[in-house]
Amino acid sequence: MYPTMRPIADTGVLVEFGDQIDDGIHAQVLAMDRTVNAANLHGVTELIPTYAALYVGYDALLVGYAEITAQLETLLGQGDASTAQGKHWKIPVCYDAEFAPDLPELASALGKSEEFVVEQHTSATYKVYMYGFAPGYAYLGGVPPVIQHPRKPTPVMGVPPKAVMITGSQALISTVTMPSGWWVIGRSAINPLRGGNDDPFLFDVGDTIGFERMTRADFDKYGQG
Amino acid sequence: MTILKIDHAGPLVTIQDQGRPNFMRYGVTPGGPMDRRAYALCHYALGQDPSASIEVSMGGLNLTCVSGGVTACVTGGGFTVILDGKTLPSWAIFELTEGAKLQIRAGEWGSWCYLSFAGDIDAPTWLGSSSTHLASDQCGVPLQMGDKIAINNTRTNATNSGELLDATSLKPSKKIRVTMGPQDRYFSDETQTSFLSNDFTLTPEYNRQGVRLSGPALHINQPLDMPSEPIARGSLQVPGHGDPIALMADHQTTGGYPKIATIISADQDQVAQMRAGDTLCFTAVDVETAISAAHDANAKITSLRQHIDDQRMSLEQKLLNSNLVSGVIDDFNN
Repeated sequence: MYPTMRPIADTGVLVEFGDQIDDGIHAQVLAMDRTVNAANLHGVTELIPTYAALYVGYDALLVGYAEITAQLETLLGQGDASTAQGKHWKIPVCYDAEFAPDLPELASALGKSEEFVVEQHTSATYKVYMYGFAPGYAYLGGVPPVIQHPRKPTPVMGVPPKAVMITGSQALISTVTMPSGWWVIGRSAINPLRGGNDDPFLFDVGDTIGFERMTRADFDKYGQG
Repeated sequence: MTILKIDHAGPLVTIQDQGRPNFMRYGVTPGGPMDRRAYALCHYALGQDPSASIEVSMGGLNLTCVSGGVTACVTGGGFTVILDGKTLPSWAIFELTEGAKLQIRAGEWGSWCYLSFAGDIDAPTWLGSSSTHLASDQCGVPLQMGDKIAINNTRTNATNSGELLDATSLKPSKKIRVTMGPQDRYFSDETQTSFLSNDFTLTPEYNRQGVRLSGPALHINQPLDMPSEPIARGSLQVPGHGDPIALMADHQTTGGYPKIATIISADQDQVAQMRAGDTLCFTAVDVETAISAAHDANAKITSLRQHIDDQRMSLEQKLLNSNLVSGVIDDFNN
């Protein structure tokens, strides 16, 4: 059945590789993202990779649907999903109580110690699956099953930038002040949304990330703002 | 430099240019004008490439030109435009002179209009655009009373003042075309038929991100287990309450609720100019029809540009042109 291509109005083609969150499916999305990007097809305006699908935006005044899908068809399977290897980032995080308002409640809900949650959080390798929700909000997969917990029933307003959060199997680092129902367990020393106009996004989809514990003293000394 | 002072600004009055496409893969909404056609024609009428405009909501805008002067243009819905107590057409080009007071209010129809200037609005930029990014503090905030706006490189050309076109011809039509999907599989045949055969009404839950519609409830027929997928402008996303939400200029880039259909690009500006309480009905078309409609919409813009050119031409120029044309004919006759 997969991959399939569906029209989205006269502005995009949704190339679907599956209907669930799965590393193999996601690797195919990333491979197609790279292949289409490299092919530099006439009329293509935008590529958005997500868990299981790639959105290919096009300008209908420049290229027709039959033409664009025929070109995408020839590119399907040309990319090598097995070589999908991005950069690896080590992100320093301070887990001090002031920056971890939800750590006590989360640990208690899991029946574990706060220290256990932090150890688990820093032991895993996370992958950037996609961006969404707000500028620079990179959805990371890879939270260890022993500290997975559903989101809060109601979102909390005003979660600040650089909050390190988890919910279920997902983790992220906030970039701007936003409401969130995820569990805030620390503060990153760096904001993945950097200032300035050129390439302000630290991560690319497909990159991997590890979190490293940083003391409060070092956070105050080296942390950005 | 020309300085404008904001005396009143309703909610959601923002700076908008062409937005910041190509950053959706990083979670950034494309933004830009709600009515892209009106915005583009506003700058065309001023004889310049599209740049930053003030997008005025139904909340309206009052301003005073406190120093300098500039040619300005308004396009968009059927708004009421009042310059120093004198009512102007809804699509008009005019001079703002020092001390002039301009009022823009919601008129007979339309949700958005564009106030543009022959010159450059001094506004912060982020990712190559001055469009206010409402969902974050990255690029400005909505205009507020007391704000001052500087316009650089201003030009004035009083001879061009007047009406650009009769806006009533641009009122949105009730019939809105969609392509079905991409997640129509979550809806039964009955629900899809109901979606296409009933009127929907725009609710007051309306902002630049999208507008909630009310009509027959569109419930999904299987467990909601889809991972977050890309979202395009015009998507009709259906959350658990069963009301479709038409996603507009500031739409989120991804989402986990199914999209029953997508409004075609040719009809997106029309939906943007509808108001809470207006009704619309959806007609399904195939992608080839949608693309052909995009070409038609582009041809319509070309004809509106021609119309604006004709309107802007001064009487003197018209006479000159007619003489030139008769001169050519005379040459042929000789």
